[in-house]
Amino acid sequence: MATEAQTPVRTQVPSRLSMRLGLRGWVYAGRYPAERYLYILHRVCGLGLILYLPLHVWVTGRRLQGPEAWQQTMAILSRPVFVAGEILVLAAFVFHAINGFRLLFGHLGCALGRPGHPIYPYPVALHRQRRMVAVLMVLAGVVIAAGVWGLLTK
Amino acid sequence: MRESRLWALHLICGAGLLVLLSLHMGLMHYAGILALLGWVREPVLSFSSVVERGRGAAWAAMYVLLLGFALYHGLYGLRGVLGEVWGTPRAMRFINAGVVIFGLVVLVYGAAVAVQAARL
Amino acid sequence: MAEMTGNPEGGVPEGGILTLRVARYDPERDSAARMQEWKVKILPGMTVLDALFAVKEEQDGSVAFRCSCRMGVCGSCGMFINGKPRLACNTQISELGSVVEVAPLPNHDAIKDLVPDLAPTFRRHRAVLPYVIRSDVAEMESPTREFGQTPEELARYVQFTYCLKCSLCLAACPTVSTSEQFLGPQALAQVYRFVADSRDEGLSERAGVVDVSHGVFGCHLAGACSEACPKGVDPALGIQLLKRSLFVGPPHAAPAQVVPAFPEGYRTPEAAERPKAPPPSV
Repeated sequence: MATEAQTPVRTQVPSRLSMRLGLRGWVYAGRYPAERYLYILHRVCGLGLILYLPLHVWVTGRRLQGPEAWQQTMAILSRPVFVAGEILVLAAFVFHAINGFRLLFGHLGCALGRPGHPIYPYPVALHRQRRMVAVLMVLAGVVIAAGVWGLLTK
Repeated sequence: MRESRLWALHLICGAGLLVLLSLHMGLMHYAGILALLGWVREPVLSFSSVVERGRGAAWAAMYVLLLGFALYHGLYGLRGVLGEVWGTPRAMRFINAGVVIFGLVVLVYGAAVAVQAARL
Repeated sequence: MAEMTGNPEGGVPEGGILTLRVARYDPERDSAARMQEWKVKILPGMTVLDALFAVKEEQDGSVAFRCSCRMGVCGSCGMFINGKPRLACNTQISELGSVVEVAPLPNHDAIKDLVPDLAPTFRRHRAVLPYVIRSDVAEMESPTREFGQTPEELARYVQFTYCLKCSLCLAACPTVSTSEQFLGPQALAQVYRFVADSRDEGLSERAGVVDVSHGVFGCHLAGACSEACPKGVDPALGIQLLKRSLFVGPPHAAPAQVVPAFPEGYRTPEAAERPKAPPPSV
């Protein structure tokens, strides 16, 4: 009786190549329009602000130690590196607040239009917010510029 | 608490911050413009000015509210970001516990400072 | 005699040569992807899928990719083409230019070459109970009647029914790129498809699946999913409306009425006015 050639039995599942982007997917993942990058910037600003907050609470608590301690603290904070940091915090807050204001509408499903029958070229709801977003970003720029000017001419 | 309630609180604190933190930032960084409008006396960061703005129960309450809003909003966001990178149930337990403990510590410290400042 | 270029916007004229770069991965030999390049003659109306077939038939039969309908209705041929997740059969070479780079879908495991592992996508879809749920279980399992639904009620959810499960939205979503637990835009949009469907009464069951961490609140409005969707489903819109529904309930006031089905052979009064069909000739 002739034995048939046996096909090799796979005991291992073949490996897969993970195409998961991981954190890189937060930075650049392809040709996407502005909303994706507004989201990342919003996230970065938020992280910066929450990391800054406990430091701020601690530093401003120094006022309880009396006027000399306060003057000392203010002197340290007027060094260029801290002024630069303050500008970043200001810019982060203004952007995060203004973008957050627009997100408030989006998350609640307002200003996004209503679902309908999809007819080519298909509408994208977030695009309806684009004019509002443009206006808000200009506003953010103006407010940040005013704040930076105020900080630098103090 | 259901996630939707935690998230709704995040939005409410965000709205609260839009008001309170804008006032706070406005005072700190736009004092020049506000002085032109007669709303504020410069300099805003002198010791006497700062102490005057902290005296009394109303100021203390406002600062505690501001801190509470900021901590909840920020730490909920931080928990979300960390949870997206390390999302297993075990990691989420650590992250949840971590942000709650950290938030309570900072809140208690900040509230203590505000209450003491109210008596200055 | 004017020659038609096949693309009024002036892309690559037919008869030109396409440089097709494909990410190759052989699970039995490779540990990472490598790019391989071929030259293909561009024919009128050529899609990326046509180009891949041209390579497979004439130059290298080992290149692996998934496809089926080749007309943009099955969702099988999702790939990362020139910087965006697209359906290969739905993407004209003329809109891309003379160099086309094709890679497997991001955020999915590649089984071989351009074939993504879509099992996690289907697992997420199954997890959200993607079927009409009625409180009357007996009627749901063995229906004896019909649902009544107005065209306005249909319009509230119909665009979300066009989902092909092609998984391009998961390839685009930044939350999916780091989080395996996140349900993803496809499943979440399908939750809203049923929540907004007046025939469905399962909002509370589905809320148990989406109203959790890594559920619907993992969406932060990057909007990339709607940019990538080839069928106009706009999952981003569905997800935001779902967030609202978790607080205010479904968009319809009451679930669809169950009405007796018309008996077999029933004709509406208007049917009498329609012209009769000619007599059969066969």
